[in-house]
Amino acid sequence: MSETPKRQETVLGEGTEFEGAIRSQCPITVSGNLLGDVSAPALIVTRTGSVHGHIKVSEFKSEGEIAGEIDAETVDLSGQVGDQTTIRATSLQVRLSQNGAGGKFQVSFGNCDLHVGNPKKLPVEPTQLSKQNEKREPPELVSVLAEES
Amino acid sequence: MCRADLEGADLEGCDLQGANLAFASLREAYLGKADLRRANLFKADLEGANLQGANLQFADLSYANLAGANLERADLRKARLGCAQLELANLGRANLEDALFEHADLSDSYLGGARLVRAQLRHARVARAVLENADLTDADARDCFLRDSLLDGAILTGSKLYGTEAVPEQFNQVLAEWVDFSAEADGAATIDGSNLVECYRRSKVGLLGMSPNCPDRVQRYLGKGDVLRHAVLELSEGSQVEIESFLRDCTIALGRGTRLSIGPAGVLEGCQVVGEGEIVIHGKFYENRISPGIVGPSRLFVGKTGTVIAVVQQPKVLTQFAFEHGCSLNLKIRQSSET
Repeated sequence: MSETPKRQETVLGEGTEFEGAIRSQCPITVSGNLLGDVSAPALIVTRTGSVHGHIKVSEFKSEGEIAGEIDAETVDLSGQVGDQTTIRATSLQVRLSQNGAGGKFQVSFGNCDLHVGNPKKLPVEPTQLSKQNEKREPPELVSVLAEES
Repeated sequence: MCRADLEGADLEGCDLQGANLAFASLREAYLGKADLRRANLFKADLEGANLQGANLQFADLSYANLAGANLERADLRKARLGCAQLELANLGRANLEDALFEHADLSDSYLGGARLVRAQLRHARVARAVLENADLTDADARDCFLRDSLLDGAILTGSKLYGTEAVPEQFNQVLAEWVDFSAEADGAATIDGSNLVECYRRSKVGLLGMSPNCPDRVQRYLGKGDVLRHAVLELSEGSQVEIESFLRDCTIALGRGTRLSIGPAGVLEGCQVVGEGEIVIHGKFYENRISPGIVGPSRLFVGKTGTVIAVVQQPKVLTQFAFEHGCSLNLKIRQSSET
């Protein structure tokens, strides 16, 4: 019989509550409730799961409820992001999935902060055009647009 | 027979109904037309086995190794194949109705003409497989990896495709009356099969939930190189505006159903966007002085080339957010002050 490599994983099953810090060298899947800090290469929070605490992982995917501080390389979010949450990530994905208004949507955000990638400030205004425009009055945009349409 | 060593055994047509073959080695075994209904084949090694025409209804093949196995015309109705390895397996014309393939690996497999009605393919890997003329009616293929698979002539009516990884053109030749793109597979986002390729393309960039571009809407465009400062824009209800210009210290009021799109070259600095419309950002939005910079949008999508540094004040009915990998954000999201 051929040896198939075992995929090691730490699982916190549905209906299980855990309070305290977890540090793991294998991916963690949370379907229960976890209150505390998590450090692992990857963390998956399933639809029934919730994690409140400081999460430090490389890959983070959540379909459940999260709150706290999240430091990750890649984040894939749906579900709920609670109040006072800070997400710091190199890359973040949140997908809209529904057509039409009034339908359920993928993520609801409480009061939270997202720091993703490396946003650079201070864009450069096109200089030549800016000089030309300085001589003009501020444009009446509504009329400009009306002419275009 | 748990853990039995039956490598290469000839078990053609054998009655193995309900047999416990968990962890057994059946590599290269000949099981053509064998009756394996309700058999326990959990983690069994069936690599290269011949199961042509075998009856595997309700069998448990979870974590089994079926790489290169021949399952042509086999009956696998309601079989459990979660996490099974099926690379290079031949499942041509097999009956896989209601079978469970969650997290299974079907890469390079042949599924031509297979019946996959209501099959569960969530998170399955079906790369480079042949699914020509396969029937995937009502199949759940959410988060399924279908890259480079051949889907010509496949029936996808009622299939669940949220998060499916494929190239839109792969769906050019499929047959589908309608498909479901909802995350919950609850029919909340069904689309007509004739729009499948376009809708899939939109879902890939996170825009499925956004209103499509409607040619009958009033469309406006502010082109590259234009600079507007201290301007006030009031965009009428239902209009669409695309900005590729540089706007500084402007106020933009969005009417209901309005779509404001900031193109890759567009920059809004020190501007405030207020109102219930949709905002799509492929360019840059920098808040400055006036905060929150974005107030009350119904939807906010930031594409992979988009950068947003701002406070977003959500309306009472929360904003629908979508962010694409690659975008840059320094975003403070705040709930409505009315709540």
